[in-house]
Amino acid sequence: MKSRYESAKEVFVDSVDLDDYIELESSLTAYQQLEHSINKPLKMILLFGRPGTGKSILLNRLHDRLKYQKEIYYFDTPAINEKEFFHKIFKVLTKKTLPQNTEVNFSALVNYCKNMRGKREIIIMLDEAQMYSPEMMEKIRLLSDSRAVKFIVSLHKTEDEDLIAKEHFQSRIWEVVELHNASLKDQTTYIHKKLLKKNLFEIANSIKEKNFKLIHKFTKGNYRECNKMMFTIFEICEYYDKNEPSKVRYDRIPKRIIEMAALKLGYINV
Amino acid sequence: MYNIEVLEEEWKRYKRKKRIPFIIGIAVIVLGIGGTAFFLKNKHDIFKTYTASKQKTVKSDIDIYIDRGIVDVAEKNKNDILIDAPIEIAKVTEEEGTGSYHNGEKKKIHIQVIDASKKKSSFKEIEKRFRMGHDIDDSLFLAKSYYQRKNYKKAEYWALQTNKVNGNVEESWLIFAKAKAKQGHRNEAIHILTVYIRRTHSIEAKVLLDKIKKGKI
Ligand SMILES: Nc1ncnc2c1ncn2[C@@H]1O[C@H](COP(=O)(O)OP(=O)(O)OP(=O)(O)O)[C@@H](O)[C@H]1O
Ligand SMILES: [Mg+2]
Repeated sequence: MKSRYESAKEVFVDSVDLDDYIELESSLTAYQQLEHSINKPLKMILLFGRPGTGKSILLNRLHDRLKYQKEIYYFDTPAINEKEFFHKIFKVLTKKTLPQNTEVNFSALVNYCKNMRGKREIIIMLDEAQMYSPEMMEKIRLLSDSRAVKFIVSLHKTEDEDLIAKEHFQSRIWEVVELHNASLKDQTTYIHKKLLKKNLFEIANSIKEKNFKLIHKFTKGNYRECNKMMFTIFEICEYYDKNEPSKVRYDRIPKRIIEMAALKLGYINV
Repeated sequence: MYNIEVLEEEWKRYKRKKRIPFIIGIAVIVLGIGGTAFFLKNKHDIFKTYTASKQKTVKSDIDIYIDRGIVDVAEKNKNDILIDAPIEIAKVTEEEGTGSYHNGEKKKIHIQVIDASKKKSSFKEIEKRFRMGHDIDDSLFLAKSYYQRKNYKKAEYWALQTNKVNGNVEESWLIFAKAKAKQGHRNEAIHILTVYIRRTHSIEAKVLLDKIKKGKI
């Protein structure tokens, strides 16, 4: 049988799995904003946020919730080149696959979209959009001008927003939805719910309020960092449990282990 | 799993270090009180005594620091051997960590295990491992390797992934810019480097920017 810590550890493997989606105050707000924007006559919507704030999982959630009501598509990783990208778009629009060695005629595609106007409304979500070149973004914009295809563009801002947030996005996108790092409250809920989903009640109860505060301090409320942190904490617990059981207690998580995890991850240094 | 004893040691040092300001604080207070008492007792000798005791505290502080530094490097080296699966050793590279990222200045030995017949799959392995652990050593390794193989799109992607985890890794910026330039997006590469230089004044970035501007890349 798996040790309790092993199961706990696995809960925090970074993944964008919809079954793991957790309703949090911040994600709910962003979700509602997105849903609201979709119903407005906008052409492009920007989903903005630091890496690891939950953009991808939110887009997946939106897709899952709307897929029976709307023609909605999710492109997870950006296409390697324009050709591949327009093949994908072509497939979405016409529901036909283009033979490998053919190329999409862009102006024909735009015309196709124009003809669709009023008949179909297609939503395409582009994740990791910072990977698209300006030329490609320009074409995406032209497609959206047809008003038959609406794009939700997700991109992250880093410490240096300029690297990613190309100015041309801002000037042309009409609605911006932003995701932030979690508040202490949201992060606590997040950790709790994730463990409870896997029936790890005891583990969930062993993390006390001051532990949550410390974890929040180290991870600054970032979900991805939080995952890494929790994974490492339970990894250390698991090790002790197997090798030096005197160093762990099932009813609480020692502060020492949290600090060790923080050292391991470089949040603090000697 | 990584070596828990090393981590424990590190934690002890961390705790000790955290206590140093506290101990120094106490020492200063004690010395202060002592000094005041002494001052009241003997007004003339005070200046000499005070500097002497002060020097003493500072000196011991430095000593502790140096000792720890040495232990640190030795232990880190032991700890930071990263072994990439699958294990069929073909090439061993030793890299000097750029030092500007991660835990301050540490030297890394990256044993890179590549089996010629399985190159692709070991990349996949590393990609998978990165998704699990988000270790920038992995993503940076991928960025560099793809760049060397002239797969610039992927190099760009992995440089970006590195940047997502840690925005201060110079190499990720440089590879990102180079990969951009190689794909014909010179202006973007220039823009990115300019932004980075404004922030860090990095010489290497300046050299690269110059090269790109002159069309050498
Ligand atoms: N509301 C949520 N419910 C469950 N998991 C979440 C939630 N928000 C974030 N996460 C988790 O946090 C991690 C990071 O989220 P995600 O990958 O969606 O971030 P992102 O903003 O897309 O990051 P990037 O810009 O790097 O692509 C994932 O493991 C995800 O499962
Ligand atoms: Mg994402």
